[in-house]
Amino acid sequence: MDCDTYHELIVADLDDTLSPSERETVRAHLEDCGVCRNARALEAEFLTHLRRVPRLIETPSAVQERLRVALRRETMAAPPRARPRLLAVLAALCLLGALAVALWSPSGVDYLGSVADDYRLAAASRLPLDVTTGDANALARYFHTSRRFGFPPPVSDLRVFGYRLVGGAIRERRGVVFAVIVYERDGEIVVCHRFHEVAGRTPRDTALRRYERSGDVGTWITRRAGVVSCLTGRLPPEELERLVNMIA
Amino acid sequence: MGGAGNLKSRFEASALPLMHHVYTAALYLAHDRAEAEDLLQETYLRAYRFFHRFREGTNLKAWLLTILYNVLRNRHRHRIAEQRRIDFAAVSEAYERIASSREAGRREDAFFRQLVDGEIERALESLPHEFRAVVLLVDVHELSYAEAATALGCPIGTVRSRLSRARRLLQVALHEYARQRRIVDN
Repeated sequence: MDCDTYHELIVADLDDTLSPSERETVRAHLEDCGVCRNARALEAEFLTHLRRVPRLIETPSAVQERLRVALRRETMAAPPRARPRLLAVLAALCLLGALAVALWSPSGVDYLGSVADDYRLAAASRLPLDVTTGDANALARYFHTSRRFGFPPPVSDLRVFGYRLVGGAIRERRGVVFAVIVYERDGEIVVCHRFHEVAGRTPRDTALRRYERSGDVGTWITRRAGVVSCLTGRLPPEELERLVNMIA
Repeated sequence: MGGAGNLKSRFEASALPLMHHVYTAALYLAHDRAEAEDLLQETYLRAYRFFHRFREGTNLKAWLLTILYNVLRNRHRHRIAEQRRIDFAAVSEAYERIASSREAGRREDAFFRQLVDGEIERALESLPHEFRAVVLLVDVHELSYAEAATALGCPIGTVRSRLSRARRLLQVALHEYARQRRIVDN
């Protein structure tokens, strides 16, 4: 370990978050390393000053009042949901499932099947890409300048989650133009589809977000301001949800 | 309905008293008072809608700050994902100089005490987003590393390394400020 790594441990030690063995490792290193001993002393002093930063700024009373009014309005519109009973959940799920089947394919387009198919092609490195690039801005520019969309499809940068951008493509199915964006992390592929709603051709249900499965492939679907985004992969639903929160 | 009414009163009794904490975090993260007010409102409305998902016995402040950070991330995903290039080799070098000055007995370690009020806050606000957020959650709001990792959607190891870098960045920035005002020699 170098002194940069020890610095992380020194900071964590001052925050009292080290395991006993890590603490012992730091203690042994400090005995031998003057640079880290100085750093530790500096960090300890700095921490006392950092913790004096104002941590409670009072919310202006007008803002508090606005918030209370908004919450009252929300209360009247929709009280917070209590944990429903199991049977009620099952009944609701059945109803939602039936609605989803009825609403999802208004013109017979098996959209979920097609996004999962794209995913399987991408996972097998057989999905044709128009642009291969790790630069999200470059891909966004490509979508934008194609003038094939009624909106500029955003290209999210998922590096914060360790995913690198592989590239993207523009596809059309039954008159609906899609942006297809492929990401990869350690061989794990995630495919993002974005498209603008088209009356009668794209899903028209009002659900803002939901999760669907097609075999071993899961898709989180979100809709915002008329743009539908789908994120597909073999990741566990909760991990896929974390990513979809980033792109939506 | 009884359950919903009970949730509503529990939300009002437990979440509303934390409003100032959420507002403070929003001010640090948003840079702008109007946006902070907007973030506060959206955070509370979402928290209210999803309060049934909050697990009793866990840290409600951390849960609210997680929602706040998600709201912010959804609004400014491009700005947040944008990584400002920082020459960390140069930062480490400058930091080592500051730390070693303690050994030289020049008492520069005490320069923090001579900074004017608000200088640390200003330095904090100048940090790139991912570093500012982690300092805010851990040092200002005293979330655990695990709670901060949940809020930021990253592993605990990332919280640790960001904190280490953020604190060095802050100290180098403050030392530069002190040098310009001749609080320290070089």
